[in-house]
Amino acid sequence: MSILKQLRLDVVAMAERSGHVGPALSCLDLIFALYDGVLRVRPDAPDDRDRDRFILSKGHGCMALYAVLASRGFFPRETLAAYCTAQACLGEHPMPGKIPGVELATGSLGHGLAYAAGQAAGLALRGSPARVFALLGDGECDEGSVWEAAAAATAQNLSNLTAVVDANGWQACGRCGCVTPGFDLAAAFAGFGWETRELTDLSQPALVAAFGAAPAGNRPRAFVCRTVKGAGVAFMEDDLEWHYRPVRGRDRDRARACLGECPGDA
Amino acid sequence: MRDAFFDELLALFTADPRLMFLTGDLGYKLYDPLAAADPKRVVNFGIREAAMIGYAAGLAEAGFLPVAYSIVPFVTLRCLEQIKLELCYNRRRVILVGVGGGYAYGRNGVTHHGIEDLGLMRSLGGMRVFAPCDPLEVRDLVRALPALDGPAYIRLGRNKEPRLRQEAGPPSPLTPFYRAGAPGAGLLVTAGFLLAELLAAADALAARGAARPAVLHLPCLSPLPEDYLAPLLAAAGPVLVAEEHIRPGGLGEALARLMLEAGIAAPFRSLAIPAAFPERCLDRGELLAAAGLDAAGIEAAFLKLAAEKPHY
Repeated sequence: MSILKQLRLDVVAMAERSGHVGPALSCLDLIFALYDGVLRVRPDAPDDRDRDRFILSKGHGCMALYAVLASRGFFPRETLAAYCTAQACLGEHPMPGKIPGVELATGSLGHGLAYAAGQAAGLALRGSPARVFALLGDGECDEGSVWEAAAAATAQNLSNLTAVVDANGWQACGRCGCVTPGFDLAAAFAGFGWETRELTDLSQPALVAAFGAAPAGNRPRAFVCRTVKGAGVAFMEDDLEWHYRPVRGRDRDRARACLGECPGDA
Repeated sequence: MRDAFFDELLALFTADPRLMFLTGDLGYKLYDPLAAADPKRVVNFGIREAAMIGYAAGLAEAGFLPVAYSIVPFVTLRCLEQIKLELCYNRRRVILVGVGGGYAYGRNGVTHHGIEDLGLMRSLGGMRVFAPCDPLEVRDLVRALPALDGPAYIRLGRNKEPRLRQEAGPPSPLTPFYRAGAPGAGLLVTAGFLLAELLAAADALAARGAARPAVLHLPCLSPLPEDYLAPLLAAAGPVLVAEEHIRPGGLGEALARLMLEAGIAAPFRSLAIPAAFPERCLDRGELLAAAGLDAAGIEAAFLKLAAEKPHY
């Protein structure tokens, strides 16, 4: 079984205890590409001062982050079974300071990009080679603080800062295009002075090549990734229901079957 | 207070390369000396307070000691959730500095009055809350910043506050200011530069032949020095709190709770800014008088309180 299918099964298993399976699946490939081929991080030294930073600004996608961190050895994969219980600090939104690899407690939207920009500025100021990647949702980009951060990052020439936007086209109660008709996310980042690319090829080699490339100039970079909410589980794809619904019982069997597992498998 | 703050901050900024100064586009010319010393550590972040707090938290994670500056409501209310989450929940050491606390911006109006800040900051877990009383205390506080282990908020006045403390400051900026009065004659309590009005009220009471109440100012509102306060309040006689702040979250409520829980049954009143907005364009003195928070109002309220028969 491919690692991405296994990670999806991990997410589906965690989602027995919470909603947000759809937004976790839509950013899973993006996060995995970062940890598999881009980020200079070491599971045995998660707090190394010159590590690259990854900020999950859309904190509700954290099941994807947990699955990837466990697969990379930041903590034992068995810990995932304690997701959303008192037995671990794997909260429904990331909690601060307890889980190796989790850089910032997030969950309220619009917070991560400014924090990532400050980290990028501080790292550059002290001559560190470290880079900072922030993953945002497209719905999250409703928040004005995202654009406050975008403008400030351009003003500070933060070429070591990358925003990866999980543009699955949905926000909590409707399509982004219905909430904000005519809003062009990529044009907005470009308008704020960011080196901007839209990505439609979301294969791992394409993502790693894009995210891992050196910046062309002294500007921050944004990748607007055209993802699918619930990606990989056919009956969840592009269906807002799975922003909310835990994956239990027959739904769980169906999801596992979609991912190539027989209902009876452990 | 503002000039004392920038003057002392320059000394710290020069000595400690971790210090960074961020402003939400306020403090015209005041931070030029910092920028002259090291322009890379001075950022006019723009009128973007919410992102400024997150950015400062990121700088703190990367090893810096950021000071984020603006007028009180803009660096507290405007970006309250960023303060709660990035600074308090994620425990990033950023120093918030609000200029123009209370009614200091008088005729600038309600948009610029800083009268909810202390309660809001006190409501956040792990936030240290300071309300220094004069320029000398501001300097002591700035010198103490590198020793703090978490986020902090400092409420400054503007620039004309008189010096109230003695030249030789107390050993720590957390040490309360206490001026003794006649034994058992009562206690006037505040936090911040309203102290000048309380001292004047105590002097006026003595001048009219009443027993002089003691005067207390608490430079640190969170955490409150409860072990220090309880015996002082128990022995004080009538206690009158006066605060340049609305009642919710303020010092009056905090001391009332402390006294009740400690079983201290002294006569107690508190004066605070009413939860309504002024309808005329008033300066600080006029606003304080309207709220009964000037020396004359405090004097009158204390006379009334001291004359009350205990109701217990």
